[in-house]
Amino acid sequence: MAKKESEDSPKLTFEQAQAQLEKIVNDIEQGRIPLEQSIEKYEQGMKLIKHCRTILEQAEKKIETISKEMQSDSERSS
Amino acid sequence: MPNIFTVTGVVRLIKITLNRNLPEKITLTGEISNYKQHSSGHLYLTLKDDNSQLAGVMWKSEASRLKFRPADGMAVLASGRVDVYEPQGKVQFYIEKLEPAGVGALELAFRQLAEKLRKEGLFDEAHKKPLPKFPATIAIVTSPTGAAIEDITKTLNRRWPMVRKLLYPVNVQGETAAKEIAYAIRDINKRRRQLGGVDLMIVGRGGGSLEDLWPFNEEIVARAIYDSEIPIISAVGHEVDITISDLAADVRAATPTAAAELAAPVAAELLRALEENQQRMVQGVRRQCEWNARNINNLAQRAIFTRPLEGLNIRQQQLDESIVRLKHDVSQKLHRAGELLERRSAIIRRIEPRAYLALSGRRLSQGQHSLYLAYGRYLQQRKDQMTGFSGRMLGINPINDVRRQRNSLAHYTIRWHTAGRQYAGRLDQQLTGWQKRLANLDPRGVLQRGYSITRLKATGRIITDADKIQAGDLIVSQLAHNAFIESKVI
Repeated sequence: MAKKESEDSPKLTFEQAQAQLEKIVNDIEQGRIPLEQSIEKYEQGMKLIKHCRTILEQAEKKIETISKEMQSDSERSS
Repeated sequence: MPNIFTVTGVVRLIKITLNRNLPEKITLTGEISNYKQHSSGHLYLTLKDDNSQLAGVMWKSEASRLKFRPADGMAVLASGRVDVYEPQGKVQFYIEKLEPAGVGALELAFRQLAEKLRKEGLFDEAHKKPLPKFPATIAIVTSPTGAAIEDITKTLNRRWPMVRKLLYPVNVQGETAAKEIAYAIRDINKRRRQLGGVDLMIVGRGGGSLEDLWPFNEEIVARAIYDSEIPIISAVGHEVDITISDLAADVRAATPTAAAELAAPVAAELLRALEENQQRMVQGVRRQCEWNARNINNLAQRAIFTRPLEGLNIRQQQLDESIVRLKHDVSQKLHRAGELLERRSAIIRRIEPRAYLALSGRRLSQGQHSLYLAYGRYLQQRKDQMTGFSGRMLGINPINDVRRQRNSLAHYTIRWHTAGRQYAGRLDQQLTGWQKRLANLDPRGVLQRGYSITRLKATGRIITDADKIQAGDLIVSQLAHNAFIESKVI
């Protein structure tokens, strides 16, 4: 998830998605863009909201444990 | 004959006496001087107070456990035993434990290390990295069995449940702890990619004694934290405990729970913010729709849409009016043409020979009458003229005329006299001027100034050239006042 994907990819990080959403909301609120574009942006915004919500609602409650063995494993494999 | 001892014998005797009479373990207070650490690792120093001093030694095995660096002038508590160093017959204090007096050894060690690392720049604000706003993966370096991991995971699950949590288990107290912690930090940095990316690290443990927390005061840990490329939150013990790790970390948290709070935002709040953003978008689009609708309504209100036939009707009406006017004009023109026709035919009817004759006769008698009137007017004009003349003739009186002539004659006489006087005056002035000029030209005038005129008596000619006279000639000189002097040239 930390890996950066291209702008339009749905695999945006939460931070990227939030930044895009912020811009869209401002654009729409200022009303300086034509209605058609507004609606387009609205749809885009809704997708971003859904994406963010998906990230936020994931619950990963378990803990992974890293061990030194893991390191030696990976060293052997690499 | 007294007993004669060898040196060794005496020293041995002293040693035995000392050992027998002094307590096995002594703790003394004093000040360090002549401090020296030998390359072997043994420490040599002198312990002294105002009146006395005692040589001291601390073997490497004990010295290596020292947390602080002893220095000259430092007040210390030294524990150990007194013994004699036989090769030199010297009483020495064999130090087993050395502590700074006043502050604890660990406290001093902390201060010294902190000072050293601060000077090196390990705590510099400029070096500190910002924490990620929305971490996806957090690595936690702590004990798997301690309270810290529990507090951290509980808090993270509550606030930011989607975050991946990687536990790197280490001992957080005991001899190996510092090394393990430092290793873990470097290891995570090195294996960052393999671990699927690590955005943030929490390094710490729960509360404990100063000794328990000690690994986090070790230089090796501080350096590992400083070198980390991944931002680190340090969370050691309770609020009051500050460790070297805390100082070297990017962010210090008072407790492990606080570290988790600093590490992650609250998802619920972000969900609310998303909700709000959605609302704002909906509102924005709705407002724009309403605005557009209003615009369209405004356009629809325009006459062209509400009364589309109005324009047409107006034109229809104008057309009707034009037709009416046109009809009227045409009928008038027809009417006028009819009238004209009527008049012309009337004239034509009138131009019949009889009618024409009658008309000519009428015109003739009219001319006669005009002539008569004109003649009468002419006569009257002449008569008026004559009357005017006679009136003017009556107005001319010859006596008046004579009187007028006389007046003007008198006037001219006066002017004549005046002019004559003026003319005589001018002549007089002129005469006087000439007289003066003539006087200037009179040769006698020159004589007045002392000159004389000389003439040849014989001829009466004026002599102007001496060559023209000869000896014996008679000459006459004329002077100013009518005196003539006769002389003879010699």
